[in-house]
Amino acid sequence: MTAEMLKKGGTTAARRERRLRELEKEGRFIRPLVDIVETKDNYLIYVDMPGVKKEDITIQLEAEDLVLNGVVSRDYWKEGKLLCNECFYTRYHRDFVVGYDIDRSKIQAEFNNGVLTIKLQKQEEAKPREIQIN
Amino acid sequence: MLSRFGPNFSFLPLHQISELRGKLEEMFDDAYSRVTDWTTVRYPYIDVVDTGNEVIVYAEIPGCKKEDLKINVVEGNLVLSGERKPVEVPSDVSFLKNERPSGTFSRTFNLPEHIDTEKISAKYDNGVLEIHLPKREEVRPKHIEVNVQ
Repeated sequence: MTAEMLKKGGTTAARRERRLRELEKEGRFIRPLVDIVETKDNYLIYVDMPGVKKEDITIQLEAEDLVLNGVVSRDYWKEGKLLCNECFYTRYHRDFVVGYDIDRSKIQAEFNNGVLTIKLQKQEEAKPREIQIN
Repeated sequence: MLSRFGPNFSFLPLHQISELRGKLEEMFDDAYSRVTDWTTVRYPYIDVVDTGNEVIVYAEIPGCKKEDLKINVVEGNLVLSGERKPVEVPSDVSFLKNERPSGTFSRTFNLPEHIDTEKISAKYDNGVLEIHLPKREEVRPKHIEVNVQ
């Protein structure tokens, strides 16, 4: 392993493995379904996270990984007899490798009706441009 | 310098297994996203809780508008239906991933006799539809204290 990789906390796979091992201790989680759209200036990530409150979502940028966590409070499980339980998980977790072509200081997110939208802006140099032939 | 393996290449078998795990997960996600006819798949997923006075159905339907959801009582069945619209994007952009289902869906539940269908109420919050099915007065649990003399 190179010194640079060690500084970043190992390879992407090593970081992912470490995160998953920590999560597995805390209960059942699922990978939420996503749509990822690339436009000229941005990447847009739409994530289905029903049942989460805005304040229970964390989005972290670790080296080149964007790590997404959400906790669902299933308080109603204790309110009575559970007759049917298809929503078995209490956590959402997913990670994305975003690379370095995005502007790391300009990441925006909003949460609406159970759908999280993350907007990653491309860096000026990474935007497509046409090169004129003289 | 151009290299065949890229700057981060290293031979670390355990990490490659972990990468394989990620790829397998992705493969299953892709299979899931290829479902085109959502009427044959169970959607949405629900939790049902009996609190004594009422039965509450929690259905996970993220990203719907309130007016696109319909709850009907038909011949003693509760029919939950609706439509999920796909993401609105300009036509010239590309999808890198498209896993979230869209289209119409419907699920039917058999209502027990003791539900008061006149008083069914529902709310939609954070992508979860909550349907309250109150029980008839006479079947609600009662607490009767008997004085022993």
